[in-house]
Amino acid sequence: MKNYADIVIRPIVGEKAYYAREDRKYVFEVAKEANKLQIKEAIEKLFNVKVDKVNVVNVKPKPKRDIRRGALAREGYTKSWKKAVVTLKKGYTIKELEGEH
Amino acid sequence: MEIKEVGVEKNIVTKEFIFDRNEIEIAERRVANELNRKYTVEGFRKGKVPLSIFKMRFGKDFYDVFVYEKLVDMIYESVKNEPNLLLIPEIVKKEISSEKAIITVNLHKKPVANIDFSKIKVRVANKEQVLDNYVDLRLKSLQEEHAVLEPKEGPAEYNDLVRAKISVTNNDSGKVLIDGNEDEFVLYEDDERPIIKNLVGHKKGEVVEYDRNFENQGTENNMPSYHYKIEILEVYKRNLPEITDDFVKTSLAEMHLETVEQLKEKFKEEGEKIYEKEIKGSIREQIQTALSLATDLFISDKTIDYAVKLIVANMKEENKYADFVKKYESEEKAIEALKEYYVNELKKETAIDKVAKENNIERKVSEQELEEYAVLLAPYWGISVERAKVLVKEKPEVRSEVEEMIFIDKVLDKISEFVEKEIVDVNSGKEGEESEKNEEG
Repeated sequence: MKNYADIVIRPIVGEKAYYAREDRKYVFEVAKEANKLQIKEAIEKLFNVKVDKVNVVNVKPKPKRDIRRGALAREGYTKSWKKAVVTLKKGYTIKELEGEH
Repeated sequence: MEIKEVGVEKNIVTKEFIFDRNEIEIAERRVANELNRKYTVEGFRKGKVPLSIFKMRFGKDFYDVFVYEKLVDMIYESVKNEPNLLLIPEIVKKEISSEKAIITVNLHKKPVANIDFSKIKVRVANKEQVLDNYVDLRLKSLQEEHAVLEPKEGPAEYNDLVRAKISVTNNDSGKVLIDGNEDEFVLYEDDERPIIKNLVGHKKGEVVEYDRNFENQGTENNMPSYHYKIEILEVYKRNLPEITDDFVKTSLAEMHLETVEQLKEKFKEEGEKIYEKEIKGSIREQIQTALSLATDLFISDKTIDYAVKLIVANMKEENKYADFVKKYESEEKAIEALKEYYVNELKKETAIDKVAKENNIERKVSEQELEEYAVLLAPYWGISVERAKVLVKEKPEVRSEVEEMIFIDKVLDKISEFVEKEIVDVNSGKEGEESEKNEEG
């Protein structure tokens, strides 16, 4: 398919995702057309870890209104995207996301 | 925190502050708390951002800037009570990681002063001469005050008094500056004013006219010229009374004195008080000026450079640096002048501290001393003595300033005991200057 870097778009850094790391669960935004196997392979190759399982969620677009611009006010939707929650096998962590230098 | 002394250079002590992992972790947590209070990070509620997220976001700067600041605070806290610290500690080197931090600091201590009192020479006006001159002057002014005026028909001579009507007109514009104002002039021989010279030799009723150019005003080609018209209204011969016992008894009855000797004695006492006060001030000023020349400091050039650096940074912060540099030809010269000024002031300060310590002179002053100083300061401040006393006692910043002045005066008085005093003959050469100085008070 594509490059691994095209499959894994960005890590999601938020409170929920951060604390999920304690259970070796890492959250990423991934390419919409990528399947679990491709995601697993990409994570294993990019971060040199072993993946236990991958859960995916298709995040639906949400209505979005920009009412502050007067005549230019717009109405629409946020983009839809795919979220992957990757659980690593025991003993593995993604060092690149741990903030250690 | 482990502190190691790694070197001493004159007044500088170099120390290494070594922080272990625990202390760095404390600093990290403090940084995270502070950043959480100040900033929000997307994806996290305010105040809920974990330390590792900040580490990730700021990268190397997290340690080099934020943790470093906290460690420096700890260093400042530990050297706060260090005795004789002259300047804030200077950080010369830093190595910080999550495991260990080593910060090398220069502690600039107050330098040791060596004062050579033999280099300070104070000039003191001859007391007897000053007092004699003062008495003479006072007697002369009494004679002048009590001069008997006798109308005179003949021409005015020196030492006469002339009453005249004056008009002054600008020759160029025709503007009348003084229009017939009446005034009185005593024609002293040493009075160089043209009006005096022109009045001599003229009788009552005569009109004297002359032009005068003022060189100091306007340009060379445009010197303002004025026309003076003086109408002599009356000429008086002044008969100066002889100062005798009778004169003292009758004309100076309010002084309750009997003889000329008593009068002279009274003036002498008066003059003595003025002399003592003035001479004390003069000696203090002379010592203060000479103190920096007579003092040697055991100080490193690095301290002077660092102090100047701090002063410049301070001036830049207050936007005063550019104006300061403008006064000199170049920035280098400005810095050089600043260095010289700093060293001189430091010499004075250190010398004063040293003398105070050696002679147990304390900075603390009594209420009475404060009041006495307020009396002296009131005329300079242009306020009443009572107001000055209240101001000195109630306003903390004024009080501390006055306390410092009193302390310095005490130290200077002490130094005056060790320095050589040269008695100056006020009647030869610089007579005018010296006697004038003592009469002013």
